[in-house]
Amino acid sequence: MTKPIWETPAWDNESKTRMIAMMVTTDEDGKESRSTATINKFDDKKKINPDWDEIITIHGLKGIDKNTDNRMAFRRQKQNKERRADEEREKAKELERLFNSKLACFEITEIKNSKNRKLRSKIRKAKNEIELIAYTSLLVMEEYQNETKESAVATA
Amino acid sequence: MKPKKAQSQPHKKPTQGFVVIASRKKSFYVSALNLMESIRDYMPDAKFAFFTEEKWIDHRCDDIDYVFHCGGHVREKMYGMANSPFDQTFYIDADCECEHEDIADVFDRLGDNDMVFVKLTKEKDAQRVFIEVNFEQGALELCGGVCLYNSAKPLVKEFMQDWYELYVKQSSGEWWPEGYPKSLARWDQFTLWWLVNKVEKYKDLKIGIFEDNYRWNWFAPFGFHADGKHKLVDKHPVIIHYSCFFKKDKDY
Repeated sequence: MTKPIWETPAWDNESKTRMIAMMVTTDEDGKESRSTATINKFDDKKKINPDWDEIITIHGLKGIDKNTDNRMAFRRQKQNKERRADEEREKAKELERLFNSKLACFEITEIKNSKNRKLRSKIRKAKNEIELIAYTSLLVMEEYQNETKESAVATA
Repeated sequence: MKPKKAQSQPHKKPTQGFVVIASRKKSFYVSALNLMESIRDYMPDAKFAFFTEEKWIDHRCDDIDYVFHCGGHVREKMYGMANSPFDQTFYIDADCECEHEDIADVFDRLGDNDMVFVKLTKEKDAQRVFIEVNFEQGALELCGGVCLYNSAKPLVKEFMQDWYELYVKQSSGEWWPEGYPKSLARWDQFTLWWLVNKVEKYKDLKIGIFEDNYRWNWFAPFGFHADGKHKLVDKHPVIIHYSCFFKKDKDY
C-alpha cells in the first residue's frame, strides 16, 4: 500500500485540534480505496501527529478553513433538503388523512342521506380536518333539525 | 335576407359523459360516489355511467344517469370503458376527486383524437411514484387512470373490449408474450402498451396526450413545492388521484 494522500481536510472541532479528511490509498495492484479519516493534532504522548503536519504543509491553514466552510455549507444544504422532504412527506400524509376522513364523513347516515349539495360540497372541499369537522357537524345538525321538525309536524 | 334552407340534416351533437367503475371493495364504491359528486360541483349537468356491484347500490345512485351491474374482477374498468353508453367518454379511476372547473370542457380536448391519455414522464417526482415504467422493449408511458375517448367509433370500442379481454387473460396467466418481464403481468398498462404498439389493427388509432398532462391525473404522492403548489403542474390539477394513499380495505 502506498503512502496515503489526504484530500479535502476540514476542521472537525472549534479548537482546530481535530481534522476530518478523505484518505486515499493505493494497493500493490494499483487499486485505489477511499475512506473518511479523523486526524488528531496530538498523539497519546502529546506529540504532534506527523499526518497532521503533512496535511497542514500540503493544504495550508487557509485551504483547510475554506474546506471547512464548504463542508458546513454542504451540511446546511443537506439539512434544508431533508427538512423540505420531511415537510413534503407530512403534507402528503395530511392529504391522505383528509381524503380518507372525508370519505368516512360521507358515510355518516345523516350526511349520506342529505340532499344539501352546498354543504356536501363544502365538506368535500375542506382544506383541513377542522373545516371538515365544522361542515360535517353543521350538516348533521341541519339534518337532525329537519328530522325533529318533520316528526313534530307528524305528531301535531 | 332569408336564411338558407339546410341542405342536409343538422349534425346530432354527440352524447358526452363520464364512466366510473367500482368493484371488489366497498371503499371504491364510496370513493366513486364522491368522485361523481365532485364533478357535479363544477359541472352540474354532467352525465354518468356507473358500473358497480349490485350488492352495494343504494339511494345515492338514484340520480346517476346509468347504473350497470358489473362483476368483481380486478379490471372491470375496461369492461365499463368498452360499454360506455356515450359517444364521447371520459373514464376516471374511482379513487380520484375533481378539484377544478376545467372539467367542464374536458370533451373539447378530444379534438380529432380517438383517445387521449396522461403520459408518464421522466421527472424525478413522477418516477418515484411509478415503480415499473421502463423495460427492454419499451416503456409503460400511457397511464390508464383516466382516458378520454371517442366511444362512438367502433374501432375504439373494439380496442377497449380487447383491452379488457386480454388483461383478464394476462392476469390469469393464460396469455403472456415471450421475452417480456413477468413482473409486468400485473399491470393493465402493459396490455395497453401491447395493443397500441404490437397489434396491427390498432396502428392507425390517433392517440393524444392531454396538453397540460398531469393536471388530468395528478397523483397525490407527487407532492407539493415549498410554496404549497402542486408539483409537476403549472395550474391547479383537475383530477387528483389518491391511488396508494387511498385506504382500499376500509370497511364502510
